[in-house]
Amino acid sequence: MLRLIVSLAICLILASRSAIADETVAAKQYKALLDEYEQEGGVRTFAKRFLALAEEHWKDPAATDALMWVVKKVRGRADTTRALELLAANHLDCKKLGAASVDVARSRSLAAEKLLRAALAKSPHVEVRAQACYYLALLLDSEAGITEQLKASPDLAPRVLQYYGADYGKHLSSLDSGELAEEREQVYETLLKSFGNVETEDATLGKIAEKALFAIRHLAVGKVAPEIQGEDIRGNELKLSDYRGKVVMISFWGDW
Amino acid sequence: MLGVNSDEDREAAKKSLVREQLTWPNWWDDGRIDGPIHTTWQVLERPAIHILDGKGVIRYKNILPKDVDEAIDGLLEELAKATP
Repeated sequence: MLRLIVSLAICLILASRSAIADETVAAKQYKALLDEYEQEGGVRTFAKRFLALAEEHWKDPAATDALMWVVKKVRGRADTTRALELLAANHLDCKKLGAASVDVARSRSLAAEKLLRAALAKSPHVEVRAQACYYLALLLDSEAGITEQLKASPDLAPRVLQYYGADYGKHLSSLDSGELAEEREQVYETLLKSFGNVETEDATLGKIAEKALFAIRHLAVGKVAPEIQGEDIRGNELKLSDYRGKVVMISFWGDW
Repeated sequence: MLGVNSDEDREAAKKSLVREQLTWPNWWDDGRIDGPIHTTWQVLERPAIHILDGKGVIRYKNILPKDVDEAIDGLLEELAKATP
């Protein structure tokens, strides 16, 4: 029995040593790749090498850094998608995903949306969940914007496909604006309730969420317009709701 | 047609009403693009034109001037049908 415990202990020590050694190798390789890239440039070639590093040492924290490098730097669809998929598969518990959420959302793809959703649902770190929630909301906002544009001018559809790639382009063209609005409302509700106190440069996530929820509920096409009540330029009482029963065009203007 | 003006100076706003021969009523939004009405309506860019139907429902947001006539004609037709 004692022998078994001793040999188990030795196994554990060896295993942890080799893990540390492996970690160092991956981290060293990551740094060497970064240096090499600084010297030579060539995002596409290096994307493949960073991906290979991340796949070989997938348990190592350096793998997360390598994948985030790809997400941040590469605009080519296939490599970015692969990096996003690997992050979702192997690195959801990484704390750095929070700071990377902005780049994930910016890469606008189905894989980006999936990763943000997974991080929001499963990350053990509240900061990561907060950032994932915020950037998921922004990504859905941009989808709503594209859906609106497509509705207004359906002839844009081929350009959407070309620009966003077949998968995401098709997804964008098939979105129902009503369902999307409901979903955005849910995500902003989560942002308000669960992460409302988180500070950003401009305001708390709660303030940002309140503003977005007001726009979704009261300023969208199909909603009853908010009341405007006050004096007109000449000093007469003027109230928007007095114009019910008429078609009203409101112009925001200034002589500037 | 209603306007929301954000000129700094209310007198200047009055003058441009006369100069441009604007006959419709205009709110004056405290001389700021971040005045209370602009803030509530989350207007970031001017000019911005929105169109509401007879029920007060927003039907067009940030519509381009060239599309305004057609939009209003459609809504007026809708209104005429609803009130026989």
